[in-house]
Order: sequence, then structure tokens, then C-alpha cells
Amino acid sequence: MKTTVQKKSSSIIVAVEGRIDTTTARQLQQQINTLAAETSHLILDCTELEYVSSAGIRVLLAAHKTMSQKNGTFSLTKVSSEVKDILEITGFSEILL
Amino acid sequence: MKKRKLMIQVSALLVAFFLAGGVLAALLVYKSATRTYLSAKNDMITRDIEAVRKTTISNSGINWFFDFAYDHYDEIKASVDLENNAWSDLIERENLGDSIYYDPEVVYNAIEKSSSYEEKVKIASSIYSTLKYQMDYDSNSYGYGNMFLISADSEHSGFVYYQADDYGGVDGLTDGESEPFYVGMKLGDRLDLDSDESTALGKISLGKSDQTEFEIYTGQIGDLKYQSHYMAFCPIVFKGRTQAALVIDYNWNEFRESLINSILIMLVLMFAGIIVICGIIILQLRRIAVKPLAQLQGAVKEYSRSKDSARAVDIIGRIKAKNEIGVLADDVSALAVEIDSYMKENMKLVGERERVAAEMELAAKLQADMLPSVYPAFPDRQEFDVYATMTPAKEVGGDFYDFFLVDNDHLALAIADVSGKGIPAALFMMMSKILIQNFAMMGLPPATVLEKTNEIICRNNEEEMFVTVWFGIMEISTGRITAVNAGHEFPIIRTAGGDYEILKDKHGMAVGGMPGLRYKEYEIQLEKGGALFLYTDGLPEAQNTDEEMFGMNRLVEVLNKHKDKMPVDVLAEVRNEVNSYVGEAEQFDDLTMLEITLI
Repeated sequence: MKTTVQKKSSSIIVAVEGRIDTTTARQLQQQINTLAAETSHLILDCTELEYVSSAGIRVLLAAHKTMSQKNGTFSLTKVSSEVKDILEITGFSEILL
Repeated sequence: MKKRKLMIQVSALLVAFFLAGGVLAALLVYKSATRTYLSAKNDMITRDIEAVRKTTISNSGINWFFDFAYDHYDEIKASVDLENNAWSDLIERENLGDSIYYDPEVVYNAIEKSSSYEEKVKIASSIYSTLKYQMDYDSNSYGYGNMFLISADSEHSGFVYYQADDYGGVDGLTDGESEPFYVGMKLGDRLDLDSDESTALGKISLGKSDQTEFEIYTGQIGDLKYQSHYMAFCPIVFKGRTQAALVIDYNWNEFRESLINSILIMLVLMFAGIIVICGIIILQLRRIAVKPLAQLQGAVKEYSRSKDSARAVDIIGRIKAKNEIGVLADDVSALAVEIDSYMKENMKLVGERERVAAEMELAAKLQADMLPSVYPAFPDRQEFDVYATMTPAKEVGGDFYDFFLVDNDHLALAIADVSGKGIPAALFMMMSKILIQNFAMMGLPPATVLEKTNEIICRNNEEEMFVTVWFGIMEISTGRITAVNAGHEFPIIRTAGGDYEILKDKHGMAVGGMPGLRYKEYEIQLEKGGALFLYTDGLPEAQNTDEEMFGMNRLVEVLNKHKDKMPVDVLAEVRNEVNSYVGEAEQFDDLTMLEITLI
């Protein structure tokens, strides 16, 4: 997994490339925790995202919760159909997309 | 062996260094000793020859004699008149008084002016006999090789005034009876000596030097016994004219021998000194470097054999070197202690790891025992057959399946996948499984079971864990299943005599996703002879070495290939297929399957 962070005045966009699974989830979580403190609108660009495992979904869920608690937003953009399927199966598409 | 090598290397280096230094020093010593020896000798000769010169010129009338003798040497030698009054007649006639002793010029003029030829010969004879006695005496007294007086006048080059006879010492001379060992040249003899500018004699003759000049000359001189000469020339000047040269002549070979002898003694002393210094340095080296190194080496060897750090520290502690080797010894000592404590730490870690492994093994067994694993599961029920397996990726897993009778006609079926893996997932799985079973056993409908489970999980879910669950309750008599899908994979269902097909059922959010979730139930009909296949994502997402997933299409294909078999065989076939697909690739996710069929 590789991430590219783009900071804007009103939001921060994190572009994720590759897979979010057990081995990379922790890294992404730490990065998101840091960035969440800096903005109220965190956007995950999923153009290059290939796969999200359940551990990965947990990170997204945690990010969503964190941002909601500070009255911000956390959203995913440009989600591929494969990732969308995973989110829909687990039922999280409603709150994450 | 190594230490001896070091000793040899250093010793060879030292010896080579000192030999080179010795040779260089010997050369320097030879040069400076030669110079010192010669200059000391020269000083001595100069002093002595000066003394002889003074004696010679105190011989009144000698300056006149030098000039007169050229043409009359035969007459002078022939005149033997013991009753010689010529001097006293002259002194009286010319009224010379005491000036005869201190004024050579007055004496010279007086002899020339007022003496007859016969008187002159007599006076010259008298001067000559004084000269002979003085030179014989001085020569034998100082002990030089040869002593002679020659003309320094270029017109009379090689004219000899006198050469001292050699009696082997002044005693031999004064005894009066002994014969001389060597009879020198007499007045009027000739001596073949170079007197051009480059020679010492030349310098004196041409008036270029009024000091004693030295020269090493090789070749026969007159009838001197040897061929290598070390000569000193002392000029005798009269009225600004160099009349004669007083010469002292050594046998240069003998002279050099004594010089070399003295240098040899110096060299021997020097080399003895070098050997002593070399020895001391080598001994010191042995004491301060080689011995402590050998001790250290021994300690290291001993330690690597016995692994006894206390002993190694003790041995090393005896090394007294106060240099880098001493520091090294301390470091090695510290290292041994460090290795020891590291080993102990490591042993502890290994023990710890073994304990954890044992606990994990127990936990894995405990977890496996939680899941129904005795088949046939319901030996007294002939209407249906159910079979399930769970293969964790690690020792313990986050997946689970479950089936149990709620009452006589209702069979609960569950398959679930906790987010994450390992121990946290296993703990979460245990909790989920028990909650679901408990609520189900209370006779609640499936949606309510999951909603209540969700409520309890969300109460203390700081870690944002969730679990995807497919949960259904089948009415055994009719095959009607009331099910809820909380974020889980689609079930795969087969009608009697039909093919397996993916059932795209209604989805809710995974249990634990957020508080207050509401789930929607749906119903499916399981036909007699039909089957329901449930699984976790570990199955379609199993990867081969090229990181390609097994996939749903391949799964359905495999199921249809074996659709006529009983659940236990169907699961085994799927398992085989997945194993051969995955090959050597590592299993990342738990892999769980469940199938039920109505008979």
C-alpha cells in the first residue's frame, strides 16, 4: 500500500494505492489519525485502491467515527466496483459511500 | 602460534631498523671519527713541529747556513775541526754580544761581511753539527716516523739539509754506543718531491701558506722505507722568504691502521649498545603486548569453550597491560558478561515464547472445541445433513460457524467473520458466537438476535471491531429458512437436481458497525435434495503465488462439479481445489465453510 497526501485549505485528500489488508491497516490508521486532527473534511481517493479486507474496513469505520465525533466528514471517492462490492456485502456502503 | 609470529615480525622489523641505523651511524662515525682523529693528530703534530722549528731556528746562523750550504755542502761535511774558534773570533771582531741569540739578521750580515771563506766553512760546519744533534734528539724524543729539513727554494728543489737518524728513541741516542736503526739523508742529498702549487710543499715554497701543511702522498720518497706517507710541512721563513721546510713524515698505512682500530672499537661498542637496546625493546614488547595478548587469547579460547564468563573475567582481570590491549581486555571482559546476560535473557525469551506457544495451542484447541465438530452432528435426525470446517490462518481465528437446534423443528445456522485476525479476533469471535447462540436459544427471530447482539457489542467497542454474520433459522419440516445477512458474503443455494447459484440476498451492516442497527429478514426455501452453502471471504479471496484470487466463479464451478455429493465430501473437494490453487502461497485469511442439505 502507498499513500499520497494532498492538503487543501478546507480538506485533506489521501490517495491510496494498492491493498488495505491486515499488514497495511495499522499504517493507514496511524496516518488517518494524524491527519484527522488537522482537518474536518477527510477524503479518501480510491482510484488506485485494489482491495479492502475486513481489517481495512475497520480502519475506514474508525475514521468515519472519529470525523463524525468532531462534526466533520469522512468520505470515499472514485471507488472501484471491486471495492464497492466489498463495502456493499459488509453493509458499510451506506455510511462510507 | 600467532603471538610468536607477532614477536618474530616485530623483532625482524626492529633488527632491520637498527641494522640500517647502525650502518648509517657507522658511516657517520667513521667520517666524524676520521676527522676528529686527524684534527687531533694534526693539532698535536702542529704543536710538536712548531716546537722543533723553534729549536731549529734557535741555532744561531741557521738562516745564513741554509743559503751557504747549497754550494758548499761537501766542504762543510769534510770540515772536522774540533778546535773550532771561528764563532768566538767573529763575535769578538764584530762585537755581537748577546744579539747572536736573538737577531738572526744581524748574525747573517755579520757572517757574510767579515768572515773569510775558511771561517765561513768552519762556522757552517759548527751550525751543521748543532743541527744534526738537535734533530736527532727531537726526532727520537717525539717518536715520529721521519723528520727532515729540506730546501723550500724553488731553485734548489729537493736539496736536503738533514734527516734525523733513527735510534728507536731518545735513550738509544743518548747511550752513545748503539748504532742507529736507520741512517737518514745527509747535507747535500737529493729528495724527489713534487713542489707544484697543488702540493703542501708547493704552497709553502710559493709563500702561499706560512702555516704547517698536511698531505697524504703515495710513492717512494728518497730512500724512505715505506710508500704511503702522511706528511706535515712546516715553513721556516727568513726576511719574508721561505728558506726551508721542516718535515715530519709518517707511514700512512700504520697511521690509518691505528685510526681504523679506534673506529672499530667505537663501532663494536655501538653495535653492542644496539643489541642491548633491541633486546630491551623486545623484552618490553613481550611484557606489554605479546604476553597480555596471549593471555587475552587464552581467555577468549577458554570462554568460547566453557562459556563461563566469571572465569573469563577472572583470567582477563589478571592482565595488567595499561595500554590499548588493556582496554581491549576490559572490553572483551565486558563483552563476555554482556553475552552471558544476553544468553540468559534469550533463554528467558525462548521459555516465554514456548509458554506463549503452548497457551496458543491450548487456545486454538479451546476455540476449535467451541465449534460443533462431532459428526454426524445430529445422529438421530435423518431429515438433514450438515457439515462445516474452519481453518484459521494463524493459531486462532476470527471466523466461526455454528449450528444448533433451537427446538425440535428449528435448526439455527450461523457463519461469521470477525474483522482482523489472531487473538483479538478470536476473543471477539467467542463473544459474538455466545451472544448469538444465547439470543437464538431464547426463541427470538434472527433479525432480533443480531440486533440485540449488535447492541451489546456496540456498548464497549472502542476498537471498532465488527463481525459479518449470516444467520438463519430453518424450519426442518418445511425447509423454510428465515435469514439475516449482516454484511456477510452471499450464500450459495442449490435446488433439488439444479445447479448451485449465488443468492444475492438483502444486506445489512456488519454487527458492531454502529449502535441501533435494524436488520431485515428474508425467507428462502431449501428443497429436499437441495443444499445451502455458506462460507467466509477467506474462500473466494484465497490467493495463489501470483496474488490472484480464487474467485466466486471458480467456487461455483467446483461446487457444481460435485453437486451430487454429501456436504462432508463437497467441503473436502472445495478444500482440495483451493489447496491446489493456492499452492505454496501463504494462507492470509481464515477459511470457513458450511453446507446443509435436506434429505
